[in-house]
Amino acid sequence: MLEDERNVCAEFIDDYRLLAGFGSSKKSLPCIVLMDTEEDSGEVPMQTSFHLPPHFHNYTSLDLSLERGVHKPSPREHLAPFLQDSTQRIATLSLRSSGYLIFAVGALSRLSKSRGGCEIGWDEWKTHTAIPAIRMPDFAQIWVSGCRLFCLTSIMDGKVQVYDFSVGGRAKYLSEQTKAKLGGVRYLVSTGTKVCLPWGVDDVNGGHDSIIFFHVSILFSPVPRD
Amino acid sequence: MFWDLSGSGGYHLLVGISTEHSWIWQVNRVFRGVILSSPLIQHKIDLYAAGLEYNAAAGISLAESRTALQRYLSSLDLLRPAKEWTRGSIQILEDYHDPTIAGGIYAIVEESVRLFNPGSPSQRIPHKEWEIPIPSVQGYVRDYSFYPGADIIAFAALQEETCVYLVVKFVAASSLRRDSDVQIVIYLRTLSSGGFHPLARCPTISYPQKGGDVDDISFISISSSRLVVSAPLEHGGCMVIWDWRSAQILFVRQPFDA
Repeated sequence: MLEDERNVCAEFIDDYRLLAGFGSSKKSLPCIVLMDTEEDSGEVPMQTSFHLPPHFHNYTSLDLSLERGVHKPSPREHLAPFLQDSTQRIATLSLRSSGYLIFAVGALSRLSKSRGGCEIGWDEWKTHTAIPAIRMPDFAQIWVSGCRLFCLTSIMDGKVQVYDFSVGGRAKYLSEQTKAKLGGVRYLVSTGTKVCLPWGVDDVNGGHDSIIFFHVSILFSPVPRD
Repeated sequence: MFWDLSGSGGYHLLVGISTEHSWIWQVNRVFRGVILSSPLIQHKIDLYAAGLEYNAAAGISLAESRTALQRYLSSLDLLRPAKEWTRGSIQILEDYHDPTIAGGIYAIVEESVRLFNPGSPSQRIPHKEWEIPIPSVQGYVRDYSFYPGADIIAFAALQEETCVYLVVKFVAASSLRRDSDVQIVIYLRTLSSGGFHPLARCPTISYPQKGGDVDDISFISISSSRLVVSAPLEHGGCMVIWDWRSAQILFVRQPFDA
């Protein structure tokens, strides 16, 4: 499975499991792989491959985005009344100019537990995915927090939209409209939250229930005249 | 009654059945009665529907948890900026990556690592800021990853080692050949203070990439005991997985024989 030369990106989704995106190569189509590194015998980790639809065949690298380091509460969260449900976490895969594919990390994890080491076809896991209905030319930046995708649609006027892939969010916002190129994956409409930030944004990131917008001001010191 | 609903198994079963059937109140009459008679179960289902889970360990009252949930959901709907800070003199060095976030903590690498926990009023997480030093490395830190759950941060650097060795040819002639190897060097430190991590047997671990054609780190990720680093090679990339606590290499993927 790992024999040929492929671009890889990877991130731990829990203590041992690594979610990796393998780009296409001459020999292989791109896929998402869940590697279980728990065994320390030096053997190749058990890998479950999740195949992607033909739409992705020329993706030499996959751009995965997920929240890091959140599978267990940090010591500072011990007094929090509630925590993000790690089984409902999402990750996104960039569809380049066509937007993003959201998928439930927990669903892949469950499939991997029940059929570890297998190749899982797109039709078998596409029900755990959705496409956020983002108008792409407007798109600027996305970030994931738990089961929600936040999208900054314009850097200049800082418009933020939210896509909710929680159990309740899916029941409410999953559209009947589908994308044929991806074998009928359903669109997820935004929650309707639209915020315009009062300043331009350089960078944006989210964590816990906070979002940090970095905005930079440059102050010029007056130059003394001769 | 088929099972004891006071145990956690009962709760999970209820929620499992509920969510499989697209909406939580479409359950049979017995379950519906149980759900409606238990404010705690209702609250847990509300949390689950919102992608959250109840934190019994916090030991707070149900009323307080409900209020916190309402506040959280209303903040999500409004998304109004809650606080504006000004932090001057942040100069992100050109060679470093963008600010990184893991476990709700932001890191900005300057001449040291500045860490920010923005906190969360609804989750009773206080705001905190602190700074840790970057280990002195040959060259510079190429990438880093941290995991607040294990108080660990890993810095990745590349260290070039030039070797001069004797190549004996078939026909009795010999020559001196100069070649360089690159080591992927990982420095393990605590996220809280930047000191050596008590669980890491070796504070510095390395992997020699023969051939010297590694010139960057593609990605690095760390968990409570595992560390993965990948470096791009001319044709593909190598990937190494360690148990960072014991410094043992668990798996190496080489796309070609370097």
